[in-house]
Amino acid sequence: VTDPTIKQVEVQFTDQEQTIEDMLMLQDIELEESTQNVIEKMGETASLSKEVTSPEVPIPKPPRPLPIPLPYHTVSGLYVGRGGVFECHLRIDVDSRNPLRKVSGDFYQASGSTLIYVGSFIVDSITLTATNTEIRIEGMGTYTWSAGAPKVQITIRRTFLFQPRAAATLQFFTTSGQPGATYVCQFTSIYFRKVDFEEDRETGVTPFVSYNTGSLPSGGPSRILSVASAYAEAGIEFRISTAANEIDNSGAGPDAKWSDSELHAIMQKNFSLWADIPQWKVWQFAAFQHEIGPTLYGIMFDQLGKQRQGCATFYIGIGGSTTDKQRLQLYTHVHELGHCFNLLHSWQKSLATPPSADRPKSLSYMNYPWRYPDGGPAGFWNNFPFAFDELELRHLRHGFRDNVIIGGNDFAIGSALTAIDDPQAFAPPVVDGSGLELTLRTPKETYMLGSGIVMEIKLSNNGSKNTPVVADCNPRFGFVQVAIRDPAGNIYRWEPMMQYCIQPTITTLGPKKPALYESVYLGFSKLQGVVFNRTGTYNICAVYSAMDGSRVRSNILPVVITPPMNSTDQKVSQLLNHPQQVALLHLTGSDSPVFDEGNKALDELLRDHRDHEQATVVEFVRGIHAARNNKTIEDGRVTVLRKADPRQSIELLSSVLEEKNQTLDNISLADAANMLILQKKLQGDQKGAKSTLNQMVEVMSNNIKNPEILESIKYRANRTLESQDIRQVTSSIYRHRIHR
Amino acid sequence: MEDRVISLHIELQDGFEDDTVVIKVYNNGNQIFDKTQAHVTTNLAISLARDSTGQYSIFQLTKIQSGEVEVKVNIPSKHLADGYKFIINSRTYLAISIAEREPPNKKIMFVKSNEPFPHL
Repeated sequence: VTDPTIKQVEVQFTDQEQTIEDMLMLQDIELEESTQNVIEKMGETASLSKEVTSPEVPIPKPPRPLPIPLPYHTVSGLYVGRGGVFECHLRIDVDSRNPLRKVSGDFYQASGSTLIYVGSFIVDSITLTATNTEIRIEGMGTYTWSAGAPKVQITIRRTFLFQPRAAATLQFFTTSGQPGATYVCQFTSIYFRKVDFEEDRETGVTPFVSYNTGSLPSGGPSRILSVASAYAEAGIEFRISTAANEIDNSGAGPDAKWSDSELHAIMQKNFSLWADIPQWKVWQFAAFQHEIGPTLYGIMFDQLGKQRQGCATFYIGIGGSTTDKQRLQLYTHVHELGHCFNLLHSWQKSLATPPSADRPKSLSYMNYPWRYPDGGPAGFWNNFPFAFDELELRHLRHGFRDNVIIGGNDFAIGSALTAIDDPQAFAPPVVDGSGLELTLRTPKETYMLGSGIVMEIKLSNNGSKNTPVVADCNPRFGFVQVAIRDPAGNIYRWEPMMQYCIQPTITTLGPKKPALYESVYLGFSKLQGVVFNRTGTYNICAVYSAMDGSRVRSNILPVVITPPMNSTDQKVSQLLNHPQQVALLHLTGSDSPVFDEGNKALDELLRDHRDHEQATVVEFVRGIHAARNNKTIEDGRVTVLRKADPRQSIELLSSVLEEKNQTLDNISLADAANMLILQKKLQGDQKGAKSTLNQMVEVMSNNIKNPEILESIKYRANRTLESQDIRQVTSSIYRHRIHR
Repeated sequence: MEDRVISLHIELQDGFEDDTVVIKVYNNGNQIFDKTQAHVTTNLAISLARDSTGQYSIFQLTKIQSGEVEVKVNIPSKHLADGYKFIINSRTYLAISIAEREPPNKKIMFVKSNEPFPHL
């Protein structure tokens, strides 16, 4: 640690509880020492300027008085309280075991039936004052968001041991001292965080139970430590799961060794609490041997999906009943779980994002004894207090929630959603009782660069209770928001060219009508222009804001963009992968002169590459566009610039329905069919319209297995066929589409 | 010079980030190993490098004659190249890392040991 201020506040490991009075005395002594240092330095300066060479007489420092035990409760621990829609989890760390003299907290937003993580704060430098009746903590907070009232003040009434613990009142203030929000938080636990811990073992492995740290020389007091009590010392409560399994690997033969991917698979199968979401649940597997060999003592193997959910220890290297092996087992188990909490090795701290200083001399669980620079393994073990170092404790107790929580930010990464203003906008809710499900899908998983990618959005209620929902779940209406992570890891919000402000249509989802479907062309976004502009895997996620305020998050949909495979693909890709062309597809066509170049490119594609599967998207857009008049207003009068061309619309949309490659999603195909039925009716071709309806039913029957959905599509097409109100039919099609 | 057959264990540890690594080993002047591994990245969870297929960068060279060993390492993706000479008489373990993240201090670091390097 190079920061002298951190050095000053460093607290030596002790198994004694620190009272508020101890901490106040420590604070006074530090203040006195720092004042004394200033005086001494001023004296040195004065001495130099006067060239006086008389020896300095050391000023005796006041002896630290012995703490007088008082029958007060300590106040450190976790407090939880609500204020308005927010729930605050407040961590106070000013007394008790190894106090860091910090406070921190996480905020959650109760929204309908969901509880969503909002952000975290920490007060690193606090001022502590106490009277016989009250403790006050003050300081400036650091936040994961731009806080309007960043100053923090916490007051806690002092209570005696025989009284219940008092609540903590958390109040925020602006920098000019104006009061902000206040939360009254009830005492919940002496620990700062709670983690569910499940440990499985391979058949034949006798897993570690506990170690007496006094069995061999060490740098700390003698005590018996298990994995759970080691973390309890760090302020983390481990609740041991009773769902421990014994995993029989005998089928793999006597030389069975685990690979990282096998460990991940076995975790998903055996970790009863596993889910691919951030949660305070962790799995440890006591196994025999990794494929690397006996020199691998343990590994945090989970670097797929939501990371850091599981780790393994290998008893071919650490197993045994001797004291040094028991010591090694304690150290290895705690070390691997440290990685699950996103702690890096002591000499690799600079590789974190954001980085901190490497600490190769740290006497921590996260260092390697054999890399310890002051005497190697013997030097390490003789001085190791069986603890995390102070900055690691800060991370474990007070780190911003997503940097610490199991399955939170990727290993070694502080924050991933940097490009979205609200980093939690697309995080899964901590609690989801909405009963709704949002599902994204595309007709295919892999697309050539330049392809028109249309995504289906399904909002469903699989429960038995009717739930009112906003029927307009196309993202252009704003009730569904979409985020895209590109192959480089950049995340941004997808935005339509125009956001529609509408009076939402309310419908009910339940057993009779379980789902709503929408379709959206994703290739254009207002901020990025061309969305899929490089090869690689894109991940798409959406959030639906429900009527009760719940935020329903979708699955994460991967879309793989591949390079063009031949010269035709290359040409088609060039003709489509341009801001004007993707904007035209997004708008379902336009006659504006702004898009002249884009329209020329689409004309060329239809002329020269009509057989290419990507021509279908253009046919669809042009077919819909040709069916409507292009109007403008001149001198206050509406003038038709281009008349609708039903024949062209029929020709293009007929081709769309005959396409075999499933380039379009089902909703777009149904729209194409309905428009085609309408255009044929307008041409007086009732027989042809009926034939299109039958053709559509045949195509849809191949794509859709749910008879209720198929029936509703047929119903809509029949209405189109029979309707005399052309405007109504047209608007029902265009309601799905962006149009000018 | 004693004519014993011994082994040399080479592993890539810290500092690799999608690098191409070329390792050549000479034993008493004769080239006995030539390996190119692409897309090598350190797995920070165990301080051991692996390639994009998940294959860890551990190389076990047997049939080494006692005498001089020279290990030449070239990392073109970082414009680094260096060599390390030593006398081998018994089973030897050699760790290769990239020290320091940023130029101009970035360099290839060799650590030789008679004991295996544990990882966790």
